[in-house]
Amino acid sequence: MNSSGGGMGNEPLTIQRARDGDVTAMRELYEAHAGRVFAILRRLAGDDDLAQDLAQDVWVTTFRKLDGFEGRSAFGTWLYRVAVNTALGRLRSRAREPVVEMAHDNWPDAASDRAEPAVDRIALARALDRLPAGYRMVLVLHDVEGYTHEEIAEELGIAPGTSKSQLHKARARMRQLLTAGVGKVNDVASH
Amino acid sequence: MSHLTRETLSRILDEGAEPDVRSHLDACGVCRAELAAMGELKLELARLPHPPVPETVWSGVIRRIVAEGKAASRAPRPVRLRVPLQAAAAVALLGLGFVGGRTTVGPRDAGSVAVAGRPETVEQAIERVENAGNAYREAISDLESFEAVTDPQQRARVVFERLAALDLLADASRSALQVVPEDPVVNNYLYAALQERQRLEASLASAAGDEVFWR
Repeated sequence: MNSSGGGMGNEPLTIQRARDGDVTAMRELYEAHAGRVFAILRRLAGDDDLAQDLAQDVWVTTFRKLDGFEGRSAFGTWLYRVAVNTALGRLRSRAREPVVEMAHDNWPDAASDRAEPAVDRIALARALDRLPAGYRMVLVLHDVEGYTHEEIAEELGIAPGTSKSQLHKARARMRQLLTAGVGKVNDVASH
Repeated sequence: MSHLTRETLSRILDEGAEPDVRSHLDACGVCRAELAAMGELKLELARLPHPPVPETVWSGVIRRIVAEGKAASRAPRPVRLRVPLQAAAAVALLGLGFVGGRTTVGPRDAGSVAVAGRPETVEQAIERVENAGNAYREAISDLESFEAVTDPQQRARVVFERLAALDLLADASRSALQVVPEDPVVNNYLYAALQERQRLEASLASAAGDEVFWR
């Protein structure tokens, strides 16, 4: 899985200072990694408020458990693990919620053979928020975070085959949402 | 011609196409275009920029960390919070001390951490801020046995000590904020102290019914 992230000049020393309760060192660690941690959480959660709650939980847990960080892996790797575990701990039950199908599948439609414009990233992010929770978690873990289906299956307590199936349904739903115009700027009112 | 489903096209992205499916793709521009669009979707998902991190995240974290500091005296390995050097230096420069004319200090005298006069070094200023934090934690530790205390005077003493310790922290933070008004850590110290004071007053008012005996 992809665990790259922000780094800092003398991270081991900063970690030691944070272990000793130095708030400035905690802030330095936060500033180095907050962006990537929040991005993971925001995408998994699909919701701003929940993502903020999760982010607070992750950072408080991280500072509490700093003594348990032995430095065998990069701090960022360990931290993102805490982040994903925290998020999935809260979201796991939603992975099995029943999925409501969209009213109609627009594939293939009259526009399908026309050249498509480049993907609008804002629309993409909004469409991601619109996915059923189970689809979104698998899609984010696989296509954004680089988890394998075996890792996803272990995290979510599902079979690897289910993870694959959810991924393909998730991508199909994303295409369905994007081609239907869901997530475009003028769609905000319907949120 | 019947087209491939989007789920099938997604599967092809990861696993490749069987010969019969490959034949269909060779002949069908619609499915090829959709496959390409799905590939672009997959790439763009991995390139999505990070959303901005709301400021409320850090303020919530530090508030909880500060609040956990009150459990330090009970924890096997206490968390010792230190304010940033600039905040401590600000306190030192101002030379305002920490009590600021409070009159509600209890018998054990949280004023023992109050300092008359100007700290001479940054280290001294830090030590004084830490002393205020220690007084706060001691007062909280006392409060653990609060429910068992029946003597009204003793109850009042415990409450006074905790309130006084909170006032010390609040005053130290206010002093520092005169010089570093934007410092998020100091702002959060002040916020946490005021919130805890309000919570304490509310819980004790609730426990004592209409009689708020410590006022």
